[in-house]
Amino acid sequence: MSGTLGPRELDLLAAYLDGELTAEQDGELAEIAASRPEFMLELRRFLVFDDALNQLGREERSTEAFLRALRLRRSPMMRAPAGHRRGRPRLAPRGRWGTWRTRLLAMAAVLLIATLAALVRPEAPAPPPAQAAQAAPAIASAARLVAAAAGSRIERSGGSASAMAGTALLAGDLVVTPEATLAFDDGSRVRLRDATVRLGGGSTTLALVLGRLDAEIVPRSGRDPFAISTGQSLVTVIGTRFRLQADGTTSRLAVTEGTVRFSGLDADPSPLVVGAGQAATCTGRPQALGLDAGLIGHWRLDDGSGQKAASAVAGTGPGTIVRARWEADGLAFDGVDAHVVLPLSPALRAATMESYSVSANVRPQPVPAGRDEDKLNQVIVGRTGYTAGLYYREDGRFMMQHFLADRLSCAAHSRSAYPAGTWHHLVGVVDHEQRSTRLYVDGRQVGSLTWTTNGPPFDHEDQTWKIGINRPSGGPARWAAAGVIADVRIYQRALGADEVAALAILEAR
Amino acid sequence: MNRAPELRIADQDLETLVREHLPSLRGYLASLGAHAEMVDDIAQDVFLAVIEQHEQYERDRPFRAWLFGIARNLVHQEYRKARTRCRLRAGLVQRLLLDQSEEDEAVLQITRSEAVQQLRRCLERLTERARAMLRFRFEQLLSGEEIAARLGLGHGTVRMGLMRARIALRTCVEGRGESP
Repeated sequence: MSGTLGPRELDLLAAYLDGELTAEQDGELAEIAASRPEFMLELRRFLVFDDALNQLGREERSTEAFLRALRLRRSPMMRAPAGHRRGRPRLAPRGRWGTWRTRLLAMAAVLLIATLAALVRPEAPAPPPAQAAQAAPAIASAARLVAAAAGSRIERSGGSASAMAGTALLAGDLVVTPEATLAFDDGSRVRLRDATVRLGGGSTTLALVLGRLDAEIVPRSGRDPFAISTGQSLVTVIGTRFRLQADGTTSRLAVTEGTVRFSGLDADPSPLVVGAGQAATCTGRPQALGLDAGLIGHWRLDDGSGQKAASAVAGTGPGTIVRARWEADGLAFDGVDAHVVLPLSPALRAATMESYSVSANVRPQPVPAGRDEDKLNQVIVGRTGYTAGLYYREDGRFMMQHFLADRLSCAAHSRSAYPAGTWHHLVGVVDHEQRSTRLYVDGRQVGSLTWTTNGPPFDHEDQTWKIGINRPSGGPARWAAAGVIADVRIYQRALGADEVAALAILEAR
Repeated sequence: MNRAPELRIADQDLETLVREHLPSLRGYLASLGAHAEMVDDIAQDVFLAVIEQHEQYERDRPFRAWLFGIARNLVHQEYRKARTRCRLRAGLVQRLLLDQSEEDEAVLQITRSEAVQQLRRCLERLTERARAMLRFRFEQLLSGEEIAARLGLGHGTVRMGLMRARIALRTCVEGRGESP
């Protein structure tokens, strides 16, 4: 088959299959596909082949999960009320809608409904979903939208309409949104981010198809838990705060308050109980992620006042604040000389000699005008010397840097720039076993470097870790940070991709 | 062709239908441009529609053709109404995929269970590096850039490496003499 495709066609096809086609390449590919039926056939075969590779090794597990999710959606709790279901579109192929008996019954039903409708009120055109929801008080609402960003929409009864704040949602509604907040009758609130959700029945159930949600569930009876399903899991709570993210294969849960029961759809139904500050992942069977394992420093920077930043790890002392000021969501740094000096516990001293990870939330700002020293770098969290740690750079990119003993820099840069003024969750991982440096932004790996030498790490000796600066004493490498920083963690181990993703959800702003 | 013996859509019937038709339905939806991670969600919509409309099924028709008809209509509806086609691929090629949405045995060949078993065997014959690329791409859903970073390779090398692995696997599965 490859013999029928030229190198350019193969390249375009590869980019298409991997979802990496640019708009220009899309046009080029469409032109080829439109003019060459055999190419189109190959493209379709490769799409199906990719799906087979996606399913490989998990066919049975995947079918079980599919059946459980389907049963959940089919169950009375998840079904739309009768009035809503009557409006669903007919999906059978045109011209093949059933037997004469069915057709006659349907015609009779339509005549009866039309007669009754004419007796009760004048006929009106069907309103779009958003209007219909507001104009149909007879149908019980499951929740309402209290905020919806531009681009949000509701799909209902085969129609689609823009989602607006104030819209009542019905069981069965599909909400697709970059950002929106749902309020439930009992006061519970669910904030959606880049999410697709389907509303369940009653006032409690929601299916997260894709994306992330932050839930704040008011206390309720254990017999009537708030339940959220994903493609892989079921989350049940009786009053707590948590975050849940779902993609096609994995669900990730991070609990910020109380406890949550987390069950897989295709495995042992006994739930995993996940407590505050903990996280879990589920691709079939829920699995706890030990985000406390190897944690040797954790400063939340949410104290709000005082000259010390409290430590959340026993045996590690507070950070000493120098000229940084408290803001509502973290500690603000001026880009001149504000910083925090962290205590040098034995574990923090040894950290850079082995595998380690550093994480923080940061809302960077550009270096203030008038700073006359080197503006290239801002150190978010680092260890002075040949500075190891997380940086924000003048070109807007983030960087995780590590040094080997021969002063060789092993830095991983983000490929993209991140404009100032927005919160981002950063994790830098130095993995001595794999001899690599990795950088994650908002839970996704954005850069990495595999070291080409086998030298030992640079020994920082008695140099301390600091937040918001490299060298407080000044000089060209002071590299003071501008912006707000919070949730600083240092681990004496290399965090895995699942743990990074869960941490990003747990600490997302 | 397969037919549903008694479409009362009790839970057992539903399970039988899903087990029998889900692999080919998944493949069919993928061939219509459904995003990999959304294939199951759309397939659930299709089966829910089957439950809702089962009385309209004509028993002398092949069940799979009816099922695929529902799937085709659903995807076309989704394409027409959705401004941002979150469950389908974007771009001009998507329109062409929908224009050619007829069921095609050649396209769906790989969804048959014997082909899947052969695919497993063929996979074992690939090089370790090709298997690693496929594992990252299809098990962990990593992007080409992420795979390149994991393996210390260039992005272009990974893209073509993945494509070569696909071609080798298809050649092997389709039994055309070449082994990967």
